[in-house]
Amino acid sequence: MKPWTDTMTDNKNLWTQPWRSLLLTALVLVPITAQAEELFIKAGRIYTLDGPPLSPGVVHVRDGKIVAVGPDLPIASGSRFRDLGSGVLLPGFIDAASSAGLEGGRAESTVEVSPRLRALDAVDPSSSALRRLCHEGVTTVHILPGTDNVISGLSCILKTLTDRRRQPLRADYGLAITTSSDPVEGNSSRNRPDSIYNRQPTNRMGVVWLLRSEFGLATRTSTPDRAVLREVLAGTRPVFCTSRLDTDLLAALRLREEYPMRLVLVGGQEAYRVREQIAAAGVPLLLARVSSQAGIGPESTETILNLPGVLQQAGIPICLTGGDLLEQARWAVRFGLPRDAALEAITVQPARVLQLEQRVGRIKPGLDADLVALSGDPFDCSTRILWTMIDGIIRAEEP
Amino acid sequence: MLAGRFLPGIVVTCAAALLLPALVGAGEKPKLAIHVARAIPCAGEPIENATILVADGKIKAVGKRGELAVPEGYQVIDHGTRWAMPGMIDAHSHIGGAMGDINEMVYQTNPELRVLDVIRPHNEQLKNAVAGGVTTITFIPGSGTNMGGWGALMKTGPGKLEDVLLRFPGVLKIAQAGNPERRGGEVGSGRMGMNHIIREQLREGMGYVKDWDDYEAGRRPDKPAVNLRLEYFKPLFRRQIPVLVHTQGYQVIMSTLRILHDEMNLKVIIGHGCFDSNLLSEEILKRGIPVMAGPRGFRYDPADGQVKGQVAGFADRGVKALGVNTDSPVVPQEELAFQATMAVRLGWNDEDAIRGLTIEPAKALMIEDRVGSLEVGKDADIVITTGSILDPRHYVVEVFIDGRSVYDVKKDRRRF
Repeated sequence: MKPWTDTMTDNKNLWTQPWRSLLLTALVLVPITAQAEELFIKAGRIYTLDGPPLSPGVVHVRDGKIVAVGPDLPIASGSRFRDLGSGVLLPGFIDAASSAGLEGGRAESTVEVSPRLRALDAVDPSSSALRRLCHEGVTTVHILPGTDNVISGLSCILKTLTDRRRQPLRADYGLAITTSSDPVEGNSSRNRPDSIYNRQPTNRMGVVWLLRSEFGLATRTSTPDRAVLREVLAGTRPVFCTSRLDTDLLAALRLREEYPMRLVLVGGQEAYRVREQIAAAGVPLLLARVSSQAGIGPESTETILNLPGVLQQAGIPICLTGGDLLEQARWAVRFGLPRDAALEAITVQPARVLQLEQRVGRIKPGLDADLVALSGDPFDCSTRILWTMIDGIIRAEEP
Repeated sequence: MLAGRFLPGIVVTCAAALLLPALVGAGEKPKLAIHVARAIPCAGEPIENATILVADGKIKAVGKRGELAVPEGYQVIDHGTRWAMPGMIDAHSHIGGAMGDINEMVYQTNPELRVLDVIRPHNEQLKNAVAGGVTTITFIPGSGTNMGGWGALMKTGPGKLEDVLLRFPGVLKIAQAGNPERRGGEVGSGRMGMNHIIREQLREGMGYVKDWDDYEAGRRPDKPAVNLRLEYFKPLFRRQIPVLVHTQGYQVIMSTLRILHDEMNLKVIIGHGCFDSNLLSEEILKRGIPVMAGPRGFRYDPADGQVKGQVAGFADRGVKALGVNTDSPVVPQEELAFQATMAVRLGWNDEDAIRGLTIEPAKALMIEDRVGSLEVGKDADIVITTGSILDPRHYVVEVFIDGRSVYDVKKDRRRF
């Protein structure tokens, strides 16, 4: 089957049948190789994220890569051509902090330090969570192990829906750690002294100590686990630290001062309180979804609706993460984030943070043909996602 | 120390901070001339009709109104009939961060833990502290274990961490007897076991510091290995910071004196000192150890059926290095002055009580060069009251920390 052909007009009746989504799912599950053919997509407006938008514009795709972008490219004869009319084309979105696809527990809760555990070993590429992300326009996803323990393991970067035989973009990428109180939960002391859960940390002081202690030990000794920490200290492996409250964000920056590392903050609900310090450190922030619902428990804080706007204004490189990226971008713009910055925060900025700028994040010759087609202005809430293309193949389409 | 290694703050104006709660940063520090009917400087006699000059966050002059000229450019604040005293200091408090992050209860001794990473400046409880005239606290780990970790000395007012942090590490917290007793399968279920654990841990720290001292003085050729768990023992054993001890009752105080002072040669602060502790005043005096008594520094004496003041008990036996504390949130932080009120009711004298709220805790904590009295060069931490703070009918009307008004009942709602 040629998915590109199938989604063209010649089989239109077939695609309006109710079982169409079933077929789409089947397409996703069947290994497919990108077609060696020329594709041209014309749109009313193209946000390349590589200069000013083109209105209108044409993208030329071959073998899953972007070949050319321009206001008016000559359409080669015999090639496929699709005209989006007044529709809009964007680079595929990148969700830089996600747990989508992780099956069977997000972290190894029986130990506090497990730097060699791989998220990739627990990712189900056929998971409905990844398929949903693809339908939301996300083409690249960074999957982080959870925060049930202090140093939880290695992240991986995938295309959301792709040929399963393909290699992930990054198999063992960053080290996931946290300065939040999450690992505390379940650890007890007096009540069950003979349990494996009678262990540090039972509060934030213990979380910080475990991190300082482990990195300190790694400077002097090497075990297989500490070898991973030594890569962090050598600057060859980034660290993704989940920190939500101001104290925890500062604790992460303090850890970076004590042990220089390529730090990326994740969460950041209270980053506005320490924005000068984060900006001065030049540390990027993968911002968790801003919700109008206040949280509960030890990680709760008040909701700041213009959190992305405030942080961007302070000079912090921010990415919007955690699913529904276009909705998040609209929400952020509504409360004060400039439109350009909102688009960057779900495309080129996460590509930069994940060191994938040569692969994804822009509509630019040489990059992967990861595209999202919209029915109109991205920030109009009546605009629909028409389809999501990954490596030149449409992997999700509006039902 | 770590405080010096904080990132320099950069000023960012944020016009787009829509929907953002007002954040008070370390803004301008104004030049102020504060007139009051009476100033209690806690250094020399009270001054009637006084003027206090403040600039750059420090006290520039204290003198009689009229005799002390107000220089050009000073904003005059005339407090009329009101009084001024130094900002109050609580040597024993747990409210500097998010509650719940003060007891790490797995090991009996935790010299690796520090409150530095959990400080939340000017949190809701600290706002009440300010309204009660408390401007400096020792934020310490709890007494759930024998050695809870390292506390911080901090101001209670608004600002970023580097603005409010006075010293870190501020003190070591040790708890002897009482709370840490447990039977979790390791040594320390009773007092013999606990004191054994404390002694062993301190010996380990002492040995580590000695290795480093020897190395730095050239008495030892090879450089000792860094042990993060023991690093903060350096200022403790070099007597640059004190140990604040949760200790109370005759036997426990005796072991405090014997182990922590006599054996370990540490700067010791007796925290609590309740029950019959004051019977040991002579031993305490001999060693020059300050007592930060309380909270609730009075006790029913079953021997004669009287309620007796323990602070007065220390004072009557000659202890001058004497103060009170709240152990907040055990007693609300804003009720620090009320601890002194009750101590005075039960026999302490007014002058010493004011000193016990200000300069005595400052000396005990070794920060008397910064806070604790209205003297030239010290931090302009000034509390304006309607009268003597020992009289519970009087209350705080304005508080200055580092020369900035951080609480003013004229503008802010009166909180306490």
